[in-house]
Amino acid sequence: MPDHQYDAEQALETLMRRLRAKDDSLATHIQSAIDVGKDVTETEPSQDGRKKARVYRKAVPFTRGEALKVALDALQAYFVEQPLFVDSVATNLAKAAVGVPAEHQRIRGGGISEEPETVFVEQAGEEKLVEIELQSEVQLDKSGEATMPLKRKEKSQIEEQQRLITDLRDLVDFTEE
Amino acid sequence: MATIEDLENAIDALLNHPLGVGQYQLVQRVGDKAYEAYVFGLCLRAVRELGVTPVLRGITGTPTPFIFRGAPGQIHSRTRNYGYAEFTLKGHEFEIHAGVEFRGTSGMTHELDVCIMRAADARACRNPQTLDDPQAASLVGGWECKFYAGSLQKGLGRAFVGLIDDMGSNVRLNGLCSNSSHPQLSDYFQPQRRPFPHFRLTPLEPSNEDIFVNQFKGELKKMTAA
Repeated sequence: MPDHQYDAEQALETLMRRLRAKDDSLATHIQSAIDVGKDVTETEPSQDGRKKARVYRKAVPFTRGEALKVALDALQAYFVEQPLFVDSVATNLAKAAVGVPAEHQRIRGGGISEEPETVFVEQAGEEKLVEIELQSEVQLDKSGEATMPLKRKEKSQIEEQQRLITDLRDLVDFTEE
Repeated sequence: MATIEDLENAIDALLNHPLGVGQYQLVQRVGDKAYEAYVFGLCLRAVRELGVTPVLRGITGTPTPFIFRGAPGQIHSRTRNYGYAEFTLKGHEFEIHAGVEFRGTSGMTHELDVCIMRAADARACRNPQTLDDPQAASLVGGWECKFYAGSLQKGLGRAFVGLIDDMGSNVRLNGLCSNSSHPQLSDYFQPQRRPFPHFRLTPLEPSNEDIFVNQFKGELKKMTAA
């Protein structure tokens, strides 16, 4: 664990300043996550001779060190977890088969019936095209893209970004100083 | 000795990476939907581990591409070729959907981010002669899915408990899935019949994925054993 020429407060200020310079909206999100604070249990010794101390919950701000952890957890969620979600869904959809409605049923009734329709099953084990709808069906303004493809990121890129997060965690770890 | 310059360089390397700020901007466009898709994928994995290959379907035809809804919608909506999955286990037919609305026992409609339901009921709701929202009784399992880059909000848990309460007593599986967590919500979900807190459900925590998948498999096995 490295020794530091800076303290937790300076580290947090540096991180937030760099974030704001890069993307103000991201900085605002991270600040919101920090400003949620935390619950602690406070104990107050008995004042009037009662044997039991009073224990109560209190909402307090994070310490600077805790705030750094919250900020890095949030960045990890955006930069590492999200690409991993896409990778996971792509893997699980690839292992599924695709049902192709039988031609005669499509012609007869659009493939809709209370009885199971006949489908040809194919493509199990093949990568599938996956999209997320951007314009919902009830949205009035239909400008812009209707859907967005979910594409896997390279595993090496995800691993590299995870390593950069770990490096940064080491640089803001003040636990033994 | 780490200097402030080392720190600045490490922050810049993280933010300037191809999966840095640009990735955040991508995430902003799809919101929770990529997380819902991830949980949908875990359901497919559970089906596969039961020895069955799930089949991807589209509401209007072959699902190429497979489209996840961007907002709550009706199961019979043909606005786009929305995707779902179907499978048969020991003669019982099921469908897995994302972002579909159900009619609760009160008559109020509720969106389930990811759900598993009886396939015959789903087909009936899609039949042009009987287009309708699925009834609560057709629901086998439902999950609320929340991607959070911070602590979960308590209100989400309260709202989901109310939703599940309105879905009647046929629901065998339910839970609040999130990549994040909340200590008080974990306690709130402790009583029996409350949703299961699938917190820190993320590829970074494979053991939590296993819990989700094993619950799904266990309940489906029990349900189809008779």
